[in-house]
Amino acid sequence: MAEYDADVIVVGSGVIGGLAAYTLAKAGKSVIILEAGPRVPRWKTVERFRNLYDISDYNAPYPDLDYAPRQGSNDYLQHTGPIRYGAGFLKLVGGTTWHWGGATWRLLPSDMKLKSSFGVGRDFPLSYEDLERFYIEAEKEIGVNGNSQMDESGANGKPFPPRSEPYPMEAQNFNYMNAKMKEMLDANGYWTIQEPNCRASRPYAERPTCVGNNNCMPICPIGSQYSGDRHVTRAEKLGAKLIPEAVVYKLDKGAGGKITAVHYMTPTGESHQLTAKIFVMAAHALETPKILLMSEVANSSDQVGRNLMDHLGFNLVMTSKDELWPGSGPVQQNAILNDRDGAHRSHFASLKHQVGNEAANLAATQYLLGQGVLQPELDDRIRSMSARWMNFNTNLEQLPDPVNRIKLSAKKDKLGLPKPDVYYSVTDYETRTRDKVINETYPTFQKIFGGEIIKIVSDWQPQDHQIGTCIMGDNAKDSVVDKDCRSWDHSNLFIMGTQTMPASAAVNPTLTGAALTLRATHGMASEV
Amino acid sequence: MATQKVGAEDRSAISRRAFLSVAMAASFLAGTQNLFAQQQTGSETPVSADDLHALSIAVIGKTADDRPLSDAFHKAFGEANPSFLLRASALSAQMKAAGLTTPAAFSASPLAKDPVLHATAIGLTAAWYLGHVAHDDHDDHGGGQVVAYEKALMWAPTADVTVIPSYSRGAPNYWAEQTAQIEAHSKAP
Repeated sequence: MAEYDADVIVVGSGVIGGLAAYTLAKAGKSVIILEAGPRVPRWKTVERFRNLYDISDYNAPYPDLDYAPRQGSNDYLQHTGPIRYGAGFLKLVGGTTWHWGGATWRLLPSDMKLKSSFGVGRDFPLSYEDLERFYIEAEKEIGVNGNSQMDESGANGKPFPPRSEPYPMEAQNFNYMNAKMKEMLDANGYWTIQEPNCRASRPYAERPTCVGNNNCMPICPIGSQYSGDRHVTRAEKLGAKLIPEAVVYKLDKGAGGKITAVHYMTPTGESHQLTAKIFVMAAHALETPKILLMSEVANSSDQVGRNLMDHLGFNLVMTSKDELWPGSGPVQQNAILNDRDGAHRSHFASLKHQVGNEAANLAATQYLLGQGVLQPELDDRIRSMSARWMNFNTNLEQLPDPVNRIKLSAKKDKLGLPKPDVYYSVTDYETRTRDKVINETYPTFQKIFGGEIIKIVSDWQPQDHQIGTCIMGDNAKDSVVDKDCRSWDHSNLFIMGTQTMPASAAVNPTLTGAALTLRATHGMASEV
Repeated sequence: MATQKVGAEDRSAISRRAFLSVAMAASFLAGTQNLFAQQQTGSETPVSADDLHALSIAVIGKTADDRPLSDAFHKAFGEANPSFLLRASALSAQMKAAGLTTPAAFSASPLAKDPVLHATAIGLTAAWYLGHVAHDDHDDHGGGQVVAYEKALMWAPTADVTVIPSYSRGAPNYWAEQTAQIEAHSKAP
């Protein structure tokens, strides 16, 4: 009988858990992946989407189970802070990358040295140069298309940040709206970038070329866009064992501070135990700290669950004077990054603006019906408004703050496990940046495109980009893991994903989480 | 195996991505429901399937001349929002009496200025355009019955340029090759 059930047990089967499991299986390690949710084939989600009452609810096509609640699940997250935190997560094999815009940005070198560059936030314990080759690997694994000639710092300069190889796929072309927007914004000194993303601009790794179904969120119907289940499947083909509907609730500590076993429950509450040489926690930024807190592990620093960050969002919804026609092609293609980097970051947060490219028919129809518009006028008005609809969405970098945290609630879920209790707040740094955007930048955008403002949404809207809660650092006293994603307290426990990032920047964090994971996994493989 | 759904969605924690659309929906449906709550239904007999079909054509136009879909809406209203069929019956009777058979005729008539009759026409139009029927005692947050997706009438006005989300125009890069078409059609608001 084998001494261990596996060399490595990975908790979580999203993009991070999938990549870790695949990399380890490829290195010849025996791997077990535990996933709280079920496995759901793509076609079922497409059918559920087309039969939804509210097609704008991107979570609704996905399972919401009493043993594996997802975003929006009734009374799962407990909110105790001044801002209600609508965290985005799905629980099924493949995780939350089933519904995402597919944005796969690198951080800038300065994003990783916020404290030493601007005197705010925290530094990563490693540099952009340390991570660059793993960004390359992550872009290849996930299958990223992008324009290697863009200055992604938003300064309209030379290609930046430095790349040792071009993007694995050429950037998708802009649609009419994005091309016209670029002309108009560039003429006013706002530089429009092609957003790197994980849609296949050519056949790539068993994925077909994107045909612009305009449904990247909530479900790419053809699987052109990357989702985390891809690497889970690849790991299985290499011998990894996936156990779905396995709700992890405890890690055991043994001699020498090592983790010795993981415990999970089935949906009916039956408990099982598995052992391994190494354990990887990749259950995203809410469930990972919850499991660690329940197990009373990895927390000698008292930082587990703390420093929860997200991209704080707000919107300018307007119509343009001219027809621009959002709704043709993928749902997001552009980014305006003038305020992404610079000395202002000592006082103002980094920003990413983006105009959504989702078909506006639903929003325009609802708006016009609300105005009492009927036929025969309605069809023409829907066409006119849909062709002019502009939804500027701004993402704002949030600084790490230990008060923002996940704790264990006294309330229990169906399996008797504590629900996550979220305390979430913002500081003057974020608030003054938002006010500047709403008072200065949004009026400029409105002037450039003409038309009328429909709504400015200034309430804080976390953008479903959970970051922090198990941050990395170079000091065991104030961080949870080291630069290799290894727990300071347990040498065989690794925590992977965006929850280890000590800074949020203003861009979508998944690629950085993936690069950190690949870097750590390669190192770990040599230890097993 | 326990796979039952958790209870109602926590709409206050809804994804930011859905926020705008939901907010828009609330504005018109909540107003309509408030208006209905203050008014009598206007008829004691639900509108028949035949009359709902004729009423739909009269309020919306020929695009609503789809009898199987009309019957599906009739059934959905009967199950999810039966009082709407009473209001639709009243609107149908008054439009018949006034000889109104087209959207233009209705809009130009005094009936369109009656708040309850106008709200009833909006409710019927909302069902056909959004493809669903809201529950009787809720605004759009409370859910309802789905009747159509592809056949929801909100898609048709832009169908020459955009896709119905999740469907395709059949080829990569179509979106980058629409400049001539769009600029030829472009017109002032």
